[in-house]
Amino acid sequence: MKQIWSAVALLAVTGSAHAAFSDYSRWLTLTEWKVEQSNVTGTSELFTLNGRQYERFNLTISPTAIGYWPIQGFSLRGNLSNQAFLTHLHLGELTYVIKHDYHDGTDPEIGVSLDYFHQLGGREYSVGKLFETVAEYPLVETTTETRPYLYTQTFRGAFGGPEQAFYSSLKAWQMGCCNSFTVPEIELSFVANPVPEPETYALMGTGLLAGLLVRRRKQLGKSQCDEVQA
Amino acid sequence: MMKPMIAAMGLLLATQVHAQFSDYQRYLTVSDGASFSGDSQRVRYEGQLFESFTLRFNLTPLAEQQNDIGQQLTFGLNLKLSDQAFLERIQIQSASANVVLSEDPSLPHMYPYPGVANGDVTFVSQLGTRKRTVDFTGTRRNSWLSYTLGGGSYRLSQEFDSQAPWIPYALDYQQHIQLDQMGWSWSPGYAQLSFLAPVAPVPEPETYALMSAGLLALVLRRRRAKKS
Repeated sequence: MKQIWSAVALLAVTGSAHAAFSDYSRWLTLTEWKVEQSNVTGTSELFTLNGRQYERFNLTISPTAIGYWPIQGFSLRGNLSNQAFLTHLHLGELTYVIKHDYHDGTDPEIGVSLDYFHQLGGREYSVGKLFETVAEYPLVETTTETRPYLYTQTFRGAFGGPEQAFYSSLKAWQMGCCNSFTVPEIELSFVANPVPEPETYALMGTGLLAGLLVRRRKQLGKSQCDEVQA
Repeated sequence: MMKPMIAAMGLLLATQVHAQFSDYQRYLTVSDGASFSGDSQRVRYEGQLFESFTLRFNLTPLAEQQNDIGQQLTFGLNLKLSDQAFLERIQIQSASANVVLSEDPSLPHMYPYPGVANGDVTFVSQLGTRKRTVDFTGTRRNSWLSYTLGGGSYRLSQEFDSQAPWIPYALDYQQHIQLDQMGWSWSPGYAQLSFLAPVAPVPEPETYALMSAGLLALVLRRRRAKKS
């Protein structure tokens, strides 16, 4: 009996916790460089569609830029479970500029690799890019800009679509003194089945408790009968 | 009866004719005095058909004259591409003048250009609201005793995808070179532009067949009416 009471007490304690925004991590997995330092902000809200309750998460993610010479940049991957429905994905604009002076004697071997895309099922949708180069020997300046990428879908109550992911990564070697890049923000919204509220657990716990008690009583009653017969 | 037959033949031939390079004029306005050549070809991106136009410009001087200092050269090019076309790439290489001075032991090892030759180059590139102005001015020393005027270049390109916005593009290039009597030689610049234009769906042969059948019927009816 003591055990059961302590279980109930535990349920009462969890009751003070609320279904929270931080639950997003049940569906969205963030990986790659210094993920724990990435700035993730947002909200979650419950809504009803066709008589059923769902939870919507709205997130804004800013990857952390790191700089270990000679590599600089950022890298963030997000994988969304197919038990969540992506309604909105906005991959923000990114710009990077590389300036080089062929006369100042620095190593011109500057390499930048940019991977910035939305993965839907087996397909990758890269953000659009624009390249600009201004050159007057010995100075060369190149600018790469991305167009913002927007994906939207309407949630109609079904889960289990294709796997979705996004990847935002810029890795630069030898960025030198005068080069720069911006870190784009990623905004997304997804819908998931609501995380059971603590009240639900409490109700379930009470039900289990009642079941146990009934069973105990029955067992007790039965043994009494046996005694009488004996 | 002869005329409608000829018309029908004409229609059949029309299906064979390919979009012509000269169609570029529907999308692009080129400033007077520009000398260029070009071609066009069918391309397919993301399942959509386009005509890809490429124009190559020789940036010969618009004006060339002598003054008290020496030779004076003026260059320019102005391009306007409508929002019915998608800019793929523009590359422009300005004219450049070079001189190598004879070695003079009395001068310091590396020194600024001692003459009065000068020049300036301006590129104004505008894609939608994205505007970039680039100025290159003056003489530069390339190495010991070698100097250059102009020669700067500008390049802009964008990747096509189905979400890319179709926005107008304009380029204005202006360059002045004033040479002096130090023995300069110069070479003109060049430019290359590529853009995509949508391809109007070509009517199916069936459509033409139906149309000519209709025409034929009309002609026959007219003939009958005349007879009676």
